Amino acid sequence: MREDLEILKRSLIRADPDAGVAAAQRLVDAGVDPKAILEEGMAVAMFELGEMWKRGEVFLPEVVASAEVFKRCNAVVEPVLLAQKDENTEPNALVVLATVKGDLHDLGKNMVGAMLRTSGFDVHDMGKDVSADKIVAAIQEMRPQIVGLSALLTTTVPYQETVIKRLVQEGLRDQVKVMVGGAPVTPEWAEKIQADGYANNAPEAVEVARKLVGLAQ
Amino acid sequence: MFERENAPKVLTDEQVEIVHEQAMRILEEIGTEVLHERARKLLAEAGQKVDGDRVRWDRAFVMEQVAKAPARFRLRARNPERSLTVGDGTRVWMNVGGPPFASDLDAGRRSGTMADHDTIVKLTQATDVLNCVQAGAVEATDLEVAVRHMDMEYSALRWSDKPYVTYGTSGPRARDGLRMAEIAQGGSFGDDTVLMGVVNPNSPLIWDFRMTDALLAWAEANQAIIVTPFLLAGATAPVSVAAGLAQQAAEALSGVALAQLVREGAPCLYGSFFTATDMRTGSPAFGTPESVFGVLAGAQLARRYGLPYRGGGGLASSNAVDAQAAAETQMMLWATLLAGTDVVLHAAGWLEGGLTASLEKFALDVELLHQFTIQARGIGFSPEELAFEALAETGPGGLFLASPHTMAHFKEWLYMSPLFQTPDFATWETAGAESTAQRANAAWKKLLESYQDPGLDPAVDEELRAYMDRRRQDPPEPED
Repeated sequence: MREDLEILKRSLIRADPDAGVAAAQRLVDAGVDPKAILEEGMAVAMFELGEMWKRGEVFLPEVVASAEVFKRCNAVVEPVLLAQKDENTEPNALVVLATVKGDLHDLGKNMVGAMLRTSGFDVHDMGKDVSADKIVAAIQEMRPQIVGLSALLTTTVPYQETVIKRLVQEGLRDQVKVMVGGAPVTPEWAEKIQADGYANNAPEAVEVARKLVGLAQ
Repeated sequence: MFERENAPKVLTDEQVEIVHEQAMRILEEIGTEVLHERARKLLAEAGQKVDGDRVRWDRAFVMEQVAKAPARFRLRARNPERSLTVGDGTRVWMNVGGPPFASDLDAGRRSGTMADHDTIVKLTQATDVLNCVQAGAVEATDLEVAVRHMDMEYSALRWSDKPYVTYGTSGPRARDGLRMAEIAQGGSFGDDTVLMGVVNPNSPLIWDFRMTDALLAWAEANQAIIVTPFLLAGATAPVSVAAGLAQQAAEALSGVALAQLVREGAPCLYGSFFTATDMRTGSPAFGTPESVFGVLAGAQLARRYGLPYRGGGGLASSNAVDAQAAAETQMMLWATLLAGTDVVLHAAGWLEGGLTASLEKFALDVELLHQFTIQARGIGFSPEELAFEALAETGPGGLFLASPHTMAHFKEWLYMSPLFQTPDFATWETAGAESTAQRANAAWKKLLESYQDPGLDPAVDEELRAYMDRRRQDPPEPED
């Protein structure tokens, strides 16, 4: 088991999908606790990868590729975990992400999504050019803990405020934490529009999200 | 030394044709999405294969359309003495455009304001090395987003009489800019070209609604369209330079073809804005070898297609006016000048990958451009400059410092930069060890003090303001 857990971790860090999925499958088949596979294997590997990125030892394409491998390994482990869960088990926190209406730039949002996924969050990515109506509907339907609003253009940043105002009007503001980001966005802007969180970059976004849902750093 | 005939060739003639062939293949086999119904209709009527939003472009059609765009055109300024010809070898240089932040050593980095915008326009008007102004010099984030495009346009029209690049980032904004240009030109500009607008496809291979709508508005009015794909190798384009050049050609030429379909002969520029993604951060990296190749190769391709060329600029990724900023800017400006670039956006003031308009960087860039202007004049070869007699007079072992020949000419012939100085170490230290950025701080303030209001006919001014007031009552949707 130890050996396969190590192979799984290495495969995630090296973004080797075949070896990763095979190791995850062997662990599941051997009856290893899926929670242990996730927490002692996959989460540890992704945390290490994040630290390596901060130290400049790996590059963005490698992180994104590892996030894809994480998704595939998770598809093997998660069904077993869900089957074992009882009513009292807390699901992962859900983050809904959107690049706001009028904006077609989603590189930053995609980076944040990849990093959140590898940090134990469930992510529903609504894509780009997303209207307040659609965001409201998604929140009503999916009940996420966090909604993340991205904007790159100076002309679309104000739409983050539009969305927050709509959430107030719809009586949803208390039910969801709002994070904002994007190159022209500032902490002052986030404060002005009464967002709950702002991050400068993707790793910081994960830290802010963890704080917002009350997870330990 | 910066004439286009002397431009270095980073592509062989064969490689230019390889890029062209791949660009045509991209347009024919992959095509582009065109998210604008009227544009798709026009293209379908012109025989292009339209399947949903996807348009597959016929190469003969594209090249036929591109051939209709003029190789040069007159850009009329509201002050006729400032008018320029684009594409005849004139170097059209202007201030930075688009940053959400402004910065200077006194007030630090902050969200851009209308006051910052006015300052940059005035600095651009005040300096001789910039012959064009760009509206949107820094985003006026203190004004309402739905209407501030007009305030920034007004700033360029009111505080400068140089020709300009309009703000228009969408159809409604482009049309406001056109109406304001009409007013500024005394009610009508007829078929004259009085502004240039920038359109960027949403790379890879998407013509989105807003940019396409602006392109159509400008083409209909016979205004110049700078078609510039923003390609980041490894993010919005494949990771290799060769592939990026082909994608750039495909995207740029499809935009030019569409513009010609709307109005034959509408001025169009081949735009290049190609650089690498820094894979450590995901940010664009300027001044890199890839961006230098992008500028030089883009110029060769523009010439291949007979179009005026927009490329390069004083681009830097650095967060401060420091050695990195200086080195990146030098790399970019040398390439820009050597390429024989016709139109250079962001020639002065660009910092932090374009997120910040820096006033010290503006002063630094103006100084570099000034030196390039002197280099562009070439080496003087009059008998007085060959100076055989001066050498004979001073003779072997002599000193020229106070010779009559030196005394007569040194002030005119030797360039002494006001910004870059050469005191000995002790003198420099005693005087406060001033940095280049600190000198640049004094330089932009001095330039601003020298600004002279070009004036604007009060009736025109009133009409511009009245137009803006009317539009404020019924503004376009902010995100349109």
